[in-house]
Amino acid sequence: MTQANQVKDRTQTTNRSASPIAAVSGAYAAENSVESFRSDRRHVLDLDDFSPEEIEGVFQNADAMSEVLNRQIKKVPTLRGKTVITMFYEASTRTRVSFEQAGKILSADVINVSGGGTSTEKGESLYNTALTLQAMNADIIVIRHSHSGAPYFLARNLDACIINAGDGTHAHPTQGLLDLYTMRRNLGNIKGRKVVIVGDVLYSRVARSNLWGLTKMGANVVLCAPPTLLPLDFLDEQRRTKGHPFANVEIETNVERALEGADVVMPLRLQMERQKAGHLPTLREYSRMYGINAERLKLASPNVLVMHPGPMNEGVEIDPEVAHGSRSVIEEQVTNGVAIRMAILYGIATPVRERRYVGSRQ
Amino acid sequence: MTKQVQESGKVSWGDAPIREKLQHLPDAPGVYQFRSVVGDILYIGKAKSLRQRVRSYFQPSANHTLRIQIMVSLVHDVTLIITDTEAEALILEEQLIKSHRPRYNVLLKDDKSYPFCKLTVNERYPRLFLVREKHDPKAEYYGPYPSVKDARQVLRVVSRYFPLRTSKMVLDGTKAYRPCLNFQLRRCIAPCRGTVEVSEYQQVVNHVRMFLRGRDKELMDDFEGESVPTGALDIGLYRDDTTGGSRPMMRLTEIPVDIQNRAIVLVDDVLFTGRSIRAAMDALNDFGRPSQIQLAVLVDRGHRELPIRADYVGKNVPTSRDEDVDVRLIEIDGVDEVLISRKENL
Repeated sequence: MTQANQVKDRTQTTNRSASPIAAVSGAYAAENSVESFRSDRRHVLDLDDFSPEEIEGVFQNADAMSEVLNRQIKKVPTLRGKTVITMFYEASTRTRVSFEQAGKILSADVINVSGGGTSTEKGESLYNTALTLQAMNADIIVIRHSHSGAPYFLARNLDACIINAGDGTHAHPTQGLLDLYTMRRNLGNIKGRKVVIVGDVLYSRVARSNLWGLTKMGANVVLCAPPTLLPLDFLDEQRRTKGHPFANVEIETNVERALEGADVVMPLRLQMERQKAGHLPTLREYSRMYGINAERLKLASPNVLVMHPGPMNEGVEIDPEVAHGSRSVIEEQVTNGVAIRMAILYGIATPVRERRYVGSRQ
Repeated sequence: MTKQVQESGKVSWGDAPIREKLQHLPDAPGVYQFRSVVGDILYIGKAKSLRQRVRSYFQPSANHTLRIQIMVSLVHDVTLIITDTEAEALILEEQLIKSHRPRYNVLLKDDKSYPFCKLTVNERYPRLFLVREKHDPKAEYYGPYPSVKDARQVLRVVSRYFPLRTSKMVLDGTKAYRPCLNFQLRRCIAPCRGTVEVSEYQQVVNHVRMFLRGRDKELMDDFEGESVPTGALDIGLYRDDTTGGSRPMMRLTEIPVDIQNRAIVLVDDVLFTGRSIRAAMDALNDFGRPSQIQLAVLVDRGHRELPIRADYVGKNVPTSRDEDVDVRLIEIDGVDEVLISRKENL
C-alpha cells in the first residue's frame, strides 16, 4: 500500500497530565552540545585527528567511567567476549596496568605480551607477531613500541582496533587525553588556561600528544626547555607565519618567566641518556636551571596544578616537595588514566561492523 | 460541461468521467475520493465493496442528508484506491482525510473539541469542572483529554483525594451557607461555611494543580514532607546491542542511596523492545539487591522482544516499527509532548 506510506508524518500530542507516574527529576537534563556527538573511530593513534567535540565526548564517557571506578563492585559487562592484547615492547608499569585494569573492569579478556621472554627474542618481526595475535582473534591491540609509527603500521595491516600506548618519540594519545581530562576536572575548562610544559620536548611523545590536545582545546601552551631539547622547527620564528600547526605555542627558555601566572605546570621526565647524547652539560645543572621547586612554583597561579606523566626523577625535573605537595595531581592523573582508557576502549570496540582499516575518522 | 441539478435531486453529468466509471467499479475494498470539476477532493470514504458503496450515492431512492446531496451534485469524477483488506482501507481513509481535509467529510475533522478541566483560579474559592473550550484567560485549563470519560475520571480522582468544593455558588466571603454532605464525608473543607481561610483552601488548590500537572513528585514532597530519593542510571555499559558503528555518549549514573532491600521504581519515557529495561535491571544489580523492582513508563509503544511488562503505563501508543517516538518533558525540553515521526533513514 504505497499511498499509505507516502502520507506525511503524523505528529501527535498525548496528554499525560493525570498520569500516576512520578515525574523524572532534572537529573537527566541535557548539559551540553556533546550530547549528539557520535564517533565511528576504529583506532587511537594520536590526538591530531580528534576534534574538540570528540575529545569532549571522551571526557563525558570518562565521567561515567569514573562513577564505575567508585563502585563497590568495579565490574560492568560491556566488553564481555572481547579480547584486548597489550603488546609492550618498552618498559611500562602505569600505562600497561592502566589498560589492563580498564579492560578488565569492562569485562574484556586482557592478555599482556611484553618484549622479553617472547618470540620477539627469537627474532620474530613485529608484523608476524601481530598477525599471530590477530589469528587468535584479538579485537583490540594496545601497542607500545620504541619505533615511531609502529601502531600506524599495525593499523594499516591488521583488522583489529589499534591503540597507541606510546610509539618512539612520536605520540602517546591516551596520556594526552588523561592529562587534558585531569585539567578539565580540576580547572573546569581548558580554554584560555596557561599550560607550561617544562623539559625534554624534543624526545617527549607525551609533550607532542599534549600539544595537539591542548591547542585543540584552546589552551595557551608555553614550552620551556634549554634550546638543545626543543625541536628545531619551534625555534624558527617564521613558524608563526608559515602555517606551522603550533604557530601560537610560546617558547620560553627561562623557567621563571615561563611559570608566571601558570594554571598548569607539567615537568617532563628527563631521560638520563640525554646527557650522554650531549644535549646537557650535567643533570645537576639542568635541575638547577629547570627543576620545578616550591620557590619557583610561587610564581605560578595560586591554584596551579602540578602534573607529571611519570615516571618521575625526583630531584631532577621536579622537587619531591612539589611532587607530593598540595598542588600536585600526579596521583589523580593515574586514576583518571583508567577512566580515560575505559572510555577509549568502550568507544572503539563494537561488534557489528565491517572490520577493515578505513583510517581514523577524517 | 452540461451538468445541472434537477428538481428531483437527480443529477445528470453530461460527459463527466464519473458516468463512465460507475459502470466499471471493482467489487473490492478500498478508498474512494469524489472530485469536483476543478479536481478538488470533495469527499473521501472507504468501502468494503467500492462497487456497491460508490453506486449507492447515485441511487434515485437514496435518502441522503442535505450535506451529501450537495456533495453528490458537485461530483465530477471519482478516484479509487483499491486495498487488500477493509482494515487497510480504514487506515488509509483516516490518513487521507487528515491530510486533505475534504470539504464534505465530517468525521475526524468535526468541530467537537476535546474536553479540558477548568480550574477557576480567579475565584476566591476556586472550583474544578469540565469544559469544552478555553474561553476564560484568567482560569487555568488542564487537558485536552482524549475523551470525556478520561476527563471525568480525573475529576473523580480529584474529588476523592482533594477536599475541593464541588458547589457552584458564588463565594465572595459575604454570605455563608450550610455545608453539604461532602463536608460530612470529609471530601470538602466547605468554604461555603464562611469560616475557611483563603490560604487554607489555596493550599488544597495548589495540591490539585500539582496533581493535574502530573508533577506528583512535588506533590509527594509537599504532602509527606519527605521526598523519594531519585537517581539516574546510564545503561550504556549494559546494552546487548552495541549499535552498528556509532556509540551514544554516556551520561552519569547517580544512585544516591543504598538500594539493598529497597523497592525501586524504574522510570523510562518510552517502553519499546524492553532491552533497555533488561539492561537497567542488570545495572541495578551491580549496586545491590533491591527487594523489588517496578517499572513505570510514560509511553508504551509495543513491539516487546523480552518478557517485560510495565507496572505503570502513562499511555499505550500503538506504533509501527518504522516510527520514532519522542517524549519531551517541561523540565528538560520546556514542553510536555509526545512526538511520533517516521524514521528518517529507512
